[in-house]
Amino acid sequence: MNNKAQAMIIDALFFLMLCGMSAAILAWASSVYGNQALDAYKYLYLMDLETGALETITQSNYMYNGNQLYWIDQLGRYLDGQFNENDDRFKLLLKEWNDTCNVVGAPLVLYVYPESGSLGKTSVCDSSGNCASLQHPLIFTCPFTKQNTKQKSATKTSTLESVLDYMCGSGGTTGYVDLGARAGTNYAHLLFLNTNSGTLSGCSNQNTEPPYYASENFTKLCHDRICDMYTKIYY
Amino acid sequence: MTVPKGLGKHGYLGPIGDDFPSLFPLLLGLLIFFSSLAAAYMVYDNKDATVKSMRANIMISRAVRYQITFDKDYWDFACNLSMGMKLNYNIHLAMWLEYYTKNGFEVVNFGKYSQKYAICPPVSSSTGHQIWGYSLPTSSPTLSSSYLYNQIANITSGRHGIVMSYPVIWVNKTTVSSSGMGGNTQTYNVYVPARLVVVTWK
Repeated sequence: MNNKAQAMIIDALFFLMLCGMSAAILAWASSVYGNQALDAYKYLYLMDLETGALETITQSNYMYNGNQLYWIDQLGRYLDGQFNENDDRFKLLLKEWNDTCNVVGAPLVLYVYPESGSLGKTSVCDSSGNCASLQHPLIFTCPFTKQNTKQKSATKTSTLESVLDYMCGSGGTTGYVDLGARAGTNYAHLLFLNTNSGTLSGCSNQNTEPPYYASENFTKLCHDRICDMYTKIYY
Repeated sequence: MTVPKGLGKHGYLGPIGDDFPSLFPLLLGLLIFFSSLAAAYMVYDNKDATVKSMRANIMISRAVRYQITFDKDYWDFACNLSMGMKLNYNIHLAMWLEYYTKNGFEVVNFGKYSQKYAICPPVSSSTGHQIWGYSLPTSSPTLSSSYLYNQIANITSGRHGIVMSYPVIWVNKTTVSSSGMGGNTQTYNVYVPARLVVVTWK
């Protein structure tokens, strides 16, 4: 073989190697693009989860003593003070939310802002008899587990308590009243923030939360008042 | 008689023999090139299949959840709608309704003892209680969702299966007898939190 042919072969080899490198870069780019596309669809899915959860809980109903009760109506009656936390109707309110948490299967938090004047219910008390004035929105939380919550800079494991500790500072768990932790219920938590001036009492790290995705605002009629509500999913 | 060029020179093997050593890097280069192309195509194809499967899952679920309350009639409609959908790519679909009990998730049954399970594609009446080629347990009217998850895992293995669940409402007709004189019964539509599980794969 003469030198010209050898040179041609070497050139061809280099060309093939460059093509191979290009293919490798293409593969890497495809992987990156594919992951971004998947992330975009995951956010769409989170949005569907939250919208579905809101529609489900606000339309659900259940039987009690031969009567059909609607969750959203019972929520309004509770805010009117028609029954307290020891009543079976309150436990059914939490149970229905607990069932919704189970079908959602994600660390979901529901914020409810009642409007239309003053509330009939002015204070809330936990099972230990600790009471607080009702000032801020109701917060229905789903139990968080280590598998379905990613924490950012949290020292504890990913649980509901650790998320609240992250928001309130380590050990500062006095900023809320937990009405879900009642003997015999073992249901998802219902929280009231204990505050008078818009600041979270006992929360040194307020206005900070782990990463979350929030839904749009839903406006529903809860018995005889307007309730604005939205959800957050911590991911 | 013409003597081939180079013949008689010391160490000369011939036209092919002299080039033989250079064939090895040439073949190695070709091998690397085609392997890289194949690997790049595989990466692209895997990601593309997963993205398309997820997109189809979300699209189909949104079309089916046009109405969030699922009774028997709407479930049949939703099943026919999803099975008849034409997508731009070949995607297989399965879905079912499940609700939470103290024993875990169970498949919604619109007929208590007639086993009208909310499963799509529906249970074939001609082959008995079969779903996707697997026999359904017939000893009780309840069907654990974990059974379906196991079957779908076998079916979608290696085929970019995407499983997503969406909160919906199951309309459960409940008959309640009123206590006291007369003993009248009344049927209520109880709206039970449930979830629609949609599975897509290529």
